[in-house]
Amino acid sequence: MGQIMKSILFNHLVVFLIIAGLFTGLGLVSVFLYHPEKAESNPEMTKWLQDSTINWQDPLHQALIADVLDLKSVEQDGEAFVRSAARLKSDETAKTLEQLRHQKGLVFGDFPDFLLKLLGFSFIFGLVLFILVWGSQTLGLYRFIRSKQGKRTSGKQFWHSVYSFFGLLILFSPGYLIAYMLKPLIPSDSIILMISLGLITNGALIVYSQKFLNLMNQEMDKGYVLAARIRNVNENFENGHQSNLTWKAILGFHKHFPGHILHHILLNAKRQYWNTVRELAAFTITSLIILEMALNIQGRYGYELLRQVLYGNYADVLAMMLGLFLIVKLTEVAIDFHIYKQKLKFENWK
Amino acid sequence: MTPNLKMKIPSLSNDTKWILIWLAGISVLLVWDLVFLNKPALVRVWLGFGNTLLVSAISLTTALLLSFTVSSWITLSRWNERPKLARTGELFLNIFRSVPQIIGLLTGFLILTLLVTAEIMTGKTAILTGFGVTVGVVIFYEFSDMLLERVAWFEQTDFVSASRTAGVPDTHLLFIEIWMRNSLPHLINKLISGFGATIFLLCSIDFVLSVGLSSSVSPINFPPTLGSMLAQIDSKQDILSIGILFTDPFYFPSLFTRHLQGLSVAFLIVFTLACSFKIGNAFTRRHRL
Amino acid sequence: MKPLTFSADISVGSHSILSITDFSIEQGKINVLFGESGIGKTLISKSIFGLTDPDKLSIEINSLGYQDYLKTEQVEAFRKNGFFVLQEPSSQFNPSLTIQEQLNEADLNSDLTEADILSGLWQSDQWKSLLPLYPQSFRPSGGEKQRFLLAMALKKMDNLANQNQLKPETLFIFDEPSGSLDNGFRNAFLEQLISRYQQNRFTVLVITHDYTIIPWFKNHKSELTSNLSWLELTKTDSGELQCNPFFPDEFISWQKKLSPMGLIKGVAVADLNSGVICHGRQLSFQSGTKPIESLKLKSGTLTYLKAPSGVGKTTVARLLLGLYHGENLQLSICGYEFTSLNTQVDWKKLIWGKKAGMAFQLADEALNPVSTVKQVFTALKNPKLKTNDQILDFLQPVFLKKLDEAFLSGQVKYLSGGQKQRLNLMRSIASEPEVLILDEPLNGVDFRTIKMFTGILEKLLQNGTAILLISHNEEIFDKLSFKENQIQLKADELLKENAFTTEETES
Repeated sequence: MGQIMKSILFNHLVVFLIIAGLFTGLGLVSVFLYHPEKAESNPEMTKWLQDSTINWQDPLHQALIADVLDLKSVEQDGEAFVRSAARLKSDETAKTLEQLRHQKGLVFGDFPDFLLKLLGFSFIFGLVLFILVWGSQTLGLYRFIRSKQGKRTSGKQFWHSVYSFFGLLILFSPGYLIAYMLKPLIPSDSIILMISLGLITNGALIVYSQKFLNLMNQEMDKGYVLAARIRNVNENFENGHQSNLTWKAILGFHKHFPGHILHHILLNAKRQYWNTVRELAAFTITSLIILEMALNIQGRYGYELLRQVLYGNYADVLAMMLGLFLIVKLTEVAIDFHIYKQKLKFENWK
Repeated sequence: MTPNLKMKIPSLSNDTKWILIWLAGISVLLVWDLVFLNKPALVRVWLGFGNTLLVSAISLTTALLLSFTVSSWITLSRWNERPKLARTGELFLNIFRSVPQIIGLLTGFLILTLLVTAEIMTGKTAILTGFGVTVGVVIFYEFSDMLLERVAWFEQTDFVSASRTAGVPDTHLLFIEIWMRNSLPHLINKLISGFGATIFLLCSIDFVLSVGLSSSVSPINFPPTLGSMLAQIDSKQDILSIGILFTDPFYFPSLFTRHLQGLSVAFLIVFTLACSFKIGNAFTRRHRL
Repeated sequence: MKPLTFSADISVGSHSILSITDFSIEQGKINVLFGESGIGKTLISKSIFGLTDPDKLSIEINSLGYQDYLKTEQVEAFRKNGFFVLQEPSSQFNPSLTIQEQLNEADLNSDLTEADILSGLWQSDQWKSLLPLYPQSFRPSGGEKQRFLLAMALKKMDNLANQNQLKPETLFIFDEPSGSLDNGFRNAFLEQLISRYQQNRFTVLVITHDYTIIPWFKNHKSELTSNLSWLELTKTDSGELQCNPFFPDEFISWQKKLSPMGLIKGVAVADLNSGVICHGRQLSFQSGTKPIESLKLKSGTLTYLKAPSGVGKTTVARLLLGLYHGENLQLSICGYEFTSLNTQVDWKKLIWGKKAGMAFQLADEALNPVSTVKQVFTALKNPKLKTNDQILDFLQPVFLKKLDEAFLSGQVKYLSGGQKQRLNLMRSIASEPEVLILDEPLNGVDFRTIKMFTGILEKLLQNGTAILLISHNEEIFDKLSFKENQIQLKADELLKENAFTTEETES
């Protein structure tokens, strides 16, 4: 393995060790110094909690109590009080149910289960990342071709802007927001929904397709494209076999357009896009974890992570975060290796 | 003679147009809320929006300060052939670069939670500043990368060597010639995308923590932001009610009067994110970045 | 035949970039176009050939909007049967396709082989090892890439000739074809071009700053005198461009009058040893054919460093200024001793902006385009160049027109190529250095500026400055320097067997 790859691996290892060391240190501090305390006993809250006629999960009950409290005292935020009380009630129930299992937390209490959950998360992450890379490149390429076709008529332009703006609002919606909207139709704890939301929402698809589009536009401005045009390389952007711009080629993973100016542009845009994939991987992890946490998908990694935070198992929390960090690092190493292989080829070292 | 009724409208750049669209959208919503939303909810929603903007401003300031410090440290160390110092700076940056934002944020918010629980950090301004600094620390590497990319671009040409050998001081060359005179559009572009990223991250983490965090840190202690507002029962019910449209499309008008709190919060988040994306894109195109 | 005549107006927003009413190219002739860099030679040529992006500029040619102009039969014929060799060969190759693939792409894909063309341009078969390479910044070198680009044009000529399509209306444009070539390779290209021209008399437009092409044509191709059209693009006071005839005899008589400048022998102020190693190459110096121990720069003396392109002339300049690290370095400059152990901090403390200066090759890169002229000098923190008056007094001698404060407050990017080159030179001598290095100082300048430059050079030498000159313009600088001070640079490749590891480590 070449010097460059060794040095890249060494850098990754150093960073991983530093973070692992930091987390271990913080974990030890939390084990020895931090003892999670029970919620501060609030005599009024205790009084409310003891009332067995109240269903704390019922929004109507919650709203009524909040209104009563708001009327009783101006200073107290009734809704916040109700939320705390409801959470305390459900925490107590959950804690009782999970007490045995979570005495030592997930990582240190049930390591195989932790590993299984980490692997499950890695699989979903890999799948979402793969589809996102393909999707953002495909969407970016489609938008590039559309811009070169310049087809839109002015009459349709207004409606097109309206549709695309509403589309934009959906693409930029945080995934959990869409999940709540769709709750009456689709259960929000479904994995397929989570994957779909991870792909479409949170701005990932639109932002990274825009990045790919920007890369293509930058490449289009380069001298070699002009030089290729002088050689009269095909620059017909109308769809069809004459231009090689078939749907099959546009939707394909390799996006191969032999003899077309796109061949020139895509070769370089795709090479540069790999640097962006590193960024996309970290973003995907972030949005998937947020989705798992927000959608309360039981048994999933994000859900467990949030639960350990809830129980104050900070050593477990840190260990779980280290697990996520490991996934990111392994992804980065894989991307770096791919970039390195390309470097060997295109810089004439092999 | 027919008078020319066409008014000459000064041509605005697309980024300015999108800034105006954003401001107009927010203003229309404010007016609507003033008319239709009850007062306590109105105050909470717009206080949450204000707090979110404040946290964004703090996080962007933090990111700017940190990125300028680290990038100038790395560049000046390199120019002065202090490889160990430069490598330390790069390692520092690498650590932040390779930690996924969710990990950084969770760690930061855990620390904040501990500080608030232990009553070391009290007061809403301090907590909001804490939020901002946490998000700023998590995103600053993106600013640093941009600043270092600009330096690398100029190093590829003869500009850096020619200026230094002519006697231009290193700090003047770096801060004035490269960053101030030649990177301002890049910096503004980064600030726009950083603003969007901050809103997304802040709202998401705030939402997640407000939905799921412990009873030991009651949201009573945390000032409202759009994320925590969205986590409120009322807002969640409002968002859920959008789903009713799939079975009863005629429910649509009721959304804008009966479910205004959640809808306002969701609109503020999504509209701001979409507009910042459009502003950033138009700005990139205008300045050919 | 009727000349091809164009009028053009090119602007961006409300800012006019170029306006010309009489850009004429003689059909069936070899047109050679001079003019300082940045004046608009490339833009007008690309625009008439149909290569400018209509989305970025507002263009009108022959009173037609650009989109309409692009649809004319003339442009379609230019694009179909002509060819345009772009300048700056480094950016004209796709880094993800091999040279071979690009040399045989689209119009160039034919049964004809390019082997003869390449052998002629290389005068050897070294090109064979370059064909499977992916083009990178330094490999193939700039000169090699330039020859591949020229080969593409020559190949297209052969393809067209084979189909009887190479006619007087066929237009081939070469933008700075010798910008990265030594005279030997330039001449090899010209020979190939002319042999094809003599068979088919098509139209050629050569855009160049290389005035030494004039004596070459006169001495080697005198039979073509009536087939040559010499042109110069100039700007009027109102900012409009004019395409005027250029009189080649004027250059030839000026060149004949040139004589060596400065002293034959002065006091040595800089001394760089032979045998220094940089970037895997051992550099050594020769006077004539005799190896010498070191490169000595002497006060009041013009030292001319010569070598084929790519050998490392600029590397020597960078070693002298501490911009590159050299193994076995033994350098004495302005009374200070430097070895391989010194760092740039030492050069910064003792030399830069004080004892030695360098005017870098590309003024466009060396200067900050968005700085004002005044800021270029105030950035130096030189107490003698703080006020407007001080800066105006300093600059006035190298400018023909009377300079004023408006000139100082203008941004560098709006200056012409020649003005930028002069500004670049003036910044490097602002600190009155004892040693001055000039790297390709005639790049991109017109004949007027060349004449002015030789005047500046003379004054600097009279003031006792030791000047190191790096240039491939041998026809001019061989005459301006004494034979004793013409030094040849040699480079021996080291560590070839371990090149992969070295390249990897360096990058």
